[in-house]
Amino acid sequence: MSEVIVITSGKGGVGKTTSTANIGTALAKLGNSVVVIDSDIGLRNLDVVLGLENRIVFDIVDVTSGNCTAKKALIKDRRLEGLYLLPAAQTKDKEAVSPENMIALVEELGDEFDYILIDCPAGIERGFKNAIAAAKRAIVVSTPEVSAVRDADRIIGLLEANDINDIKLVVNMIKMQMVQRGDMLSIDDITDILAIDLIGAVPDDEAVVISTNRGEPVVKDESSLSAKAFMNIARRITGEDIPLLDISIPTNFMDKVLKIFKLSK
Amino acid sequence: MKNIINFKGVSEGLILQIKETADFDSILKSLEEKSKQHSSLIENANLVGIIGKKLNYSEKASLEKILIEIFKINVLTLENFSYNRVVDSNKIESIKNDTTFVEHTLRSGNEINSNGDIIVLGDVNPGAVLKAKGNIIVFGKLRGVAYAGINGDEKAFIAANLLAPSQIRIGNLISRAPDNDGISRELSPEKAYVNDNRIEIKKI
Repeated sequence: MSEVIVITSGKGGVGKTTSTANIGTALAKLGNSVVVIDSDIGLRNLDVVLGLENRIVFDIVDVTSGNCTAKKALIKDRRLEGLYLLPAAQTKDKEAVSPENMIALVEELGDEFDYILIDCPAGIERGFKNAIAAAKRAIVVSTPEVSAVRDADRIIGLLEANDINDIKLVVNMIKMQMVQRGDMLSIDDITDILAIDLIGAVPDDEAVVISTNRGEPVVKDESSLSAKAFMNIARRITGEDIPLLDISIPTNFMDKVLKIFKLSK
Repeated sequence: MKNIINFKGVSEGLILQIKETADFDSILKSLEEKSKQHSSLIENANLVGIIGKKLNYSEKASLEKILIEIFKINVLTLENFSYNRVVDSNKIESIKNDTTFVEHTLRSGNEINSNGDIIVLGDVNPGAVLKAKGNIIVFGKLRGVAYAGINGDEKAFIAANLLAPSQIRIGNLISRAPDNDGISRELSPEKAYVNDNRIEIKKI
């Protein structure tokens, strides 16, 4: 059976879709076959982030209402072997799909794929229930903000209540300067409250914005720090044991020199 | 002969005490004698085990037959009775009834209500709510909302390994965390209670 992982957060705007696109792309780059499903019906944008918007013919509602098979609706990413997108419908709303539909859909996709990532909409209503229905694992995305952490906490409780106990945390958009000044929640502050395993910390990075707007996930070019962070998350999902990326920023000149020296070794 | 077997009443029912050195024939004999005595007291009683001599399977089988047919006893088991093993579940229920145990972390959106005390083995995260008619004890970090003595009982208290609730109420009194307290992680067990119509906090 494919590993079915839901990527969720509760709060909007913390980077669920960007994380799904990048983790999915990274998993495919590592040689896995991956389906990413956009379950944000009515507000789809995983297709935009992946740069596959203009290739949509069928969508998730076509599949669940029986207009076409799940495999026929999949869009194959021509630029990357093994990556497939099942887009959301844009003209319907969340009620067009039920949790039972989602379970049937994932069953129909079968075990041909290594990973099925489900991009969850914000909120805890129907869209959330749809997204988690077929998932066995969950990745909760939070940013270092009290509101995002609070929502993540609620989401973890709901996931546990639905028997999803393999829950990992991604802390996204960390501004290291602010953490070092003490103006932003640190990763320790967040894991202390959420009490789940951290699977990755992604720095706030202009490269993400640029790549998202271009419709190319940032991991396609692995030079940026955020790309490295997403690649590491994908590796940890596959079971590799990789230490956390050092995203701290040298504070003074001497530190900077030392840091450069260390990196060049 | 008289002391070879004996029926004993315990809170769970009846137990049969058998002298350890007695052979099975003398057990049967004394049972026969017992049956001639007035035995309606133990009729329909529940036999919950035996103590003393260990019997083999065939002995147990014939003993069970006699107990059921002659003494008219409900034989629940002929296993060795241990005072610790058979526990009256009703009794435990009545003790537990007033205390709500939570053995995991409570997250935002969880709410626990209790007619008695609440004991949490885990954290209470911001956004979670505890409401107890009695006391609240958290073996972990209390960062959510805690109401003790919701019926107006100002003798109730709230204790936690880290007492950093967003709000606490005891009886009709209400208190909240100081603004800009930041996130504290150091554990230091504290207790909140009512003194002189104010909620006070002290280390425990």
